[in-house]
Amino acid sequence: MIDLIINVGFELFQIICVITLGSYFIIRTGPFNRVLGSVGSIRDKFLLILFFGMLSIYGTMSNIVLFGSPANVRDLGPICAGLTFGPWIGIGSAIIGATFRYSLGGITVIPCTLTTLISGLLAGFVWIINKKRVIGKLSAIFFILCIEIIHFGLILFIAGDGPEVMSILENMWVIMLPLYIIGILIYSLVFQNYITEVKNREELERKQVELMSAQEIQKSFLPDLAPVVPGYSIYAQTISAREVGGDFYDYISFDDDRFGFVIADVSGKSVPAALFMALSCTMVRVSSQWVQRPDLAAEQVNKLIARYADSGMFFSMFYGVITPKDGVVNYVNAGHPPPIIFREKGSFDEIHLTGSIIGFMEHQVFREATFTLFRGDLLLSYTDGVTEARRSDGEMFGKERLYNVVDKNRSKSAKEIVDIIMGEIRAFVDEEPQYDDITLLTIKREEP
Amino acid sequence: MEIKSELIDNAMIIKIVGLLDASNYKFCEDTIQSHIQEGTRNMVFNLQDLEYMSSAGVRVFIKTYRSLSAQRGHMAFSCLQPFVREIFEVAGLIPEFQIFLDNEGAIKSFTSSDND
Repeated sequence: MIDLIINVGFELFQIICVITLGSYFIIRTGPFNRVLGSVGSIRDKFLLILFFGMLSIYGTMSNIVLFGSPANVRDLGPICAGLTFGPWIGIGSAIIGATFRYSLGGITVIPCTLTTLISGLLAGFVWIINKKRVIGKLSAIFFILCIEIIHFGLILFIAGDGPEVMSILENMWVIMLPLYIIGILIYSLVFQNYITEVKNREELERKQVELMSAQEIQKSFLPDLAPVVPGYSIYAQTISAREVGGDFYDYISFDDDRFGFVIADVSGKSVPAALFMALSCTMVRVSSQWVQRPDLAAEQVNKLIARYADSGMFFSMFYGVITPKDGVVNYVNAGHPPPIIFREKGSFDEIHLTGSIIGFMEHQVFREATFTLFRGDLLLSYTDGVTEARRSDGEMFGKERLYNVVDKNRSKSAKEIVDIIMGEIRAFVDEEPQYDDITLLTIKREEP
Repeated sequence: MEIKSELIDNAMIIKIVGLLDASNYKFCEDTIQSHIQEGTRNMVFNLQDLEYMSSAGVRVFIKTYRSLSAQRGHMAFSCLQPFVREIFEVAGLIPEFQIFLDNEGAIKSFTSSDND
């Protein structure tokens, strides 16, 4: 008796393994997905019919003989096919399974063959009634129960109630029904699992597309090209840590020959920062046209941000206006990391604060200050993402490395220097992910 | 990062230990905001054991400063390390961010401003 239980248990386990693997395999194939998404070709449908038909044949062949009569899961294939894809594939696979069963003969040949055909067809109708969607696992179990009652009734009605038939019927409840239930449960779970997986993937793709369009919009806020100013080379670049970021730079033109340049770092990261960046960038542009002095523009923007924006929104900004013919720069530095002037003769100057971060306090005064760029001088402004770029051991790129890189390359043009610094940062952080947005803006006075 | 809050003489002493960066500033912000919502008006940030602070940390303190100012509250710092002081200086937050050598000095500054 124990031997028998072990043997039957082993065979059951084997069948369950085959169903699990089979479901897992078929659900991830091209034909399955195309037919599920209503874009399957005739060939795809034919392949599915073949697969579920084979599952039905396997169900027949995996007969477990208990107390002298067989039990099997022949109808599982057509049922799964019908519940997932509707009557055509349901009945198609049922015909394959039924034909095979018919060829074996025996006293229950007619009711068994009929049940298989009916199960595929009914499953397909259930699919139609359920608005062409797959029913839940509890409904599927209930459906199996109904099919087996039909099976039971047909055997009783067609094959009579002789002792051999009765022993087959007893067996049905003990082994076949639990096996069917386990089989349909496994299929439902694997299927649901897959549907969730696909949904998540689609959701992720949709978000990715949205982020990409946000990125495009954000890029449109940044100037495409540096202004052409005779005697100067100007270049800026920003690299966001995420798809969108909170750093920005801008060039501002005036009615006379002066031109303005802005570099700024708004609080936060990713989407919230990008929205705030768009707001800040617009405010600076409008204010700089309205009041032509950097300090007054900063004061105006500060008042608006402090008064109306959320308390967690603020930004650091360096905004300068240069008069090209004498190289005099009027500027305001609102809590921004000090830009550096690399003098032609080898020394350097840092440009310190003339006011605190914008959005910190409503009533805040910004000073205007000036410096002069002489021939060969280079102005380098950056956001803290540059000096705080970290490699895997936690060490930061730092000011010293930045100074050294520029110092070694001071004969190069503004664009070349920006490219070299960006390259050095990339090499420094190596595989480590970028934590913060990185922005550089350089102006070099080439001629007297 | 770890936050230890302790009420001494009408002032909430908030000690921030470890790293304060983009990965945990939100937690820090939420803790502080909940204190403000519960009625705390005087806050001292003891930053003796702060090991590292990124720009996200600056955000926490500016937000707190603005929230407390709107409620006529006060905040002060104690036991500041040079690197934190430098970050505050670069952003132009000093002298509005008041810095004291120890908690006692910071707490005293509240009582004198309350009497104003």
